[in-house]
Amino acid sequence: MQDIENNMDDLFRKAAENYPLKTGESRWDEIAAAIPGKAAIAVKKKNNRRKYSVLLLLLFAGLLLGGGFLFYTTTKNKITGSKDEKSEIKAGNIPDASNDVYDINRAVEDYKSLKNLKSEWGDIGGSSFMKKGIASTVVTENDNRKNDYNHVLQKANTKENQDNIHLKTLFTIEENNPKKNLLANPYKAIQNTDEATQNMSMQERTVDDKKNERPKSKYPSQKNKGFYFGIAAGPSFSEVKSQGLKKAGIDAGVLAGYQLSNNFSVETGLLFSKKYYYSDGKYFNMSKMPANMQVVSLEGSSAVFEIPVKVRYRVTAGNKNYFTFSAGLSSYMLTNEKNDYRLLVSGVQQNMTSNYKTTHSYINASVNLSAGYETKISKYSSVRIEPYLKIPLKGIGVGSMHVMSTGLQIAVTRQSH
Amino acid sequence: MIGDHKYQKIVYERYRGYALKIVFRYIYRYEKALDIVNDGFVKMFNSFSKFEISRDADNEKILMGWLKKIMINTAIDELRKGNMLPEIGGIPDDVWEIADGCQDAYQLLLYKDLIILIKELPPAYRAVFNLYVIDGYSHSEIADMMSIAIGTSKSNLSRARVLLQKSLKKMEEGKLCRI
Repeated sequence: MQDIENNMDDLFRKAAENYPLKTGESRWDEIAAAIPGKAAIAVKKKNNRRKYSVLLLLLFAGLLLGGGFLFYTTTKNKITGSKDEKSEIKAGNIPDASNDVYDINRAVEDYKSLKNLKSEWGDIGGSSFMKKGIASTVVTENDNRKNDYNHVLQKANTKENQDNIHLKTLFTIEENNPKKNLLANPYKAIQNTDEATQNMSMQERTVDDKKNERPKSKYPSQKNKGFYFGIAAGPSFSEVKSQGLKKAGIDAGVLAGYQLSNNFSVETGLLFSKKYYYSDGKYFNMSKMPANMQVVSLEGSSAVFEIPVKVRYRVTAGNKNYFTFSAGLSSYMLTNEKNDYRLLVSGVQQNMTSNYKTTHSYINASVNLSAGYETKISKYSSVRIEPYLKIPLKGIGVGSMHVMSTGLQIAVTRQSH
Repeated sequence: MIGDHKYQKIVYERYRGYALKIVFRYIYRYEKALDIVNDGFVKMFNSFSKFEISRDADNEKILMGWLKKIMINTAIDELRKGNMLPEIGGIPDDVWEIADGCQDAYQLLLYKDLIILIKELPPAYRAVFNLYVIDGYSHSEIADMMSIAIGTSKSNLSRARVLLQKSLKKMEEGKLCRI
């Protein structure tokens, strides 16, 4: 019996191996449609290269911020220096009431040094003082003594380690003093303030020493350089080759910039963007899709991190308001793409959904243009509303589609101080 | 090869006949068997990264073994989905290759008849017979794969053998009568 069973088993094994069965027509297309293609795997292979691209992108943003910070710190020192220079009695410059801070101490020191010079040179004509200022008079009187005078001024400056007294004090002194036109005649002003400061500056200094802070200016200087940071968000709409806008996506993120002057600034940021779009199959690059597949149309969505780098220009439109214009380039990191395809596989129409989760990066993928309105909401903070247009330079995603985006960015920024 | 459709297609075209022969022993309907072959290949290509190629081993045999396992599992899943219910209707003649008068024609016809005998077994018996006798699984493995007791597997095999012996006897008698 066992032998019969064994023989039977052998017979069936041979039959199973060699039985004549038609294999039918190849149904490879169905398999190809159901498995991820070369593109998805190629992405894996190139993952390292893309990682480097992302790192480079971040490095670039870091360099921009770092460079900006260095520039800021350097310029800040210069700005401080220039403020000091403003308060100096320069050749040809009469101390101006428009300057925020005028150092009475320095004026006193100047006066003292001038008195010494006067004793050396004799009395100097008052009219020339009135017209050109003390220093110019000194310089015109005796050029050879200019260096000596500057040296005295420098000494005076180095001694300047006391708290400043605001120009307001000088105005107060002037108002209290029956003698007018003090500023028009700085020599007299200095003479008058010589005594006044003995009384008043002491009082001011005591208060200031207690506060141990710089006195607040009634007219704070307009800070036109420096960093600003902010948050931004807004709706966005995307389309491929003017085929119509799909449902609204969203942009949200942070931004950072450096105000180069009153008008110009450079800006970057990191924005998360959700884009929805529709496209006909003819705008979808099939190079990364299976050979026997044809995309009829698709509805796609992408999750993208965007790093814009742009130059902004603003025009004053009132006391606290500006019209803004900006132009720059945006780079993308595509982290997720989901496409609902309508396909033709061997002439048969099918629907297929594909989700691609591999990160791709696209450097300078679009030109970023915007124009908007900015208004100050506090001394350092601003709100801006900017409609924008992002014109694609490169295709993104599996189908390398040129996705154009438009929307409205609302941002709150705060200037560092 | 992973993810490259060009090479995947080559693999598919080379082994689809082999895969279909495995699946068709388990699945009664030819069209259904073709579907399951496709499902099996999709599973294989999706998990191809798990396939390890070694220098010394016969990689083709390993690949064929792996493919066979995938196909059998996919077929068993399909049988379980259908609750192992017996199929109705015969097997159309156009699924068989025509023996073109070569020396092995008689043998091929015999093999075809033997496979038809297997396919005519109730699904539960057919599955166990295929797994144990042809594909070489043990009863404990079969029990795990089909979620049945080992005893059930053994009894199913025993009944399958009895049925096949009866069928073989009938087949022999029929041939003798024809002669």
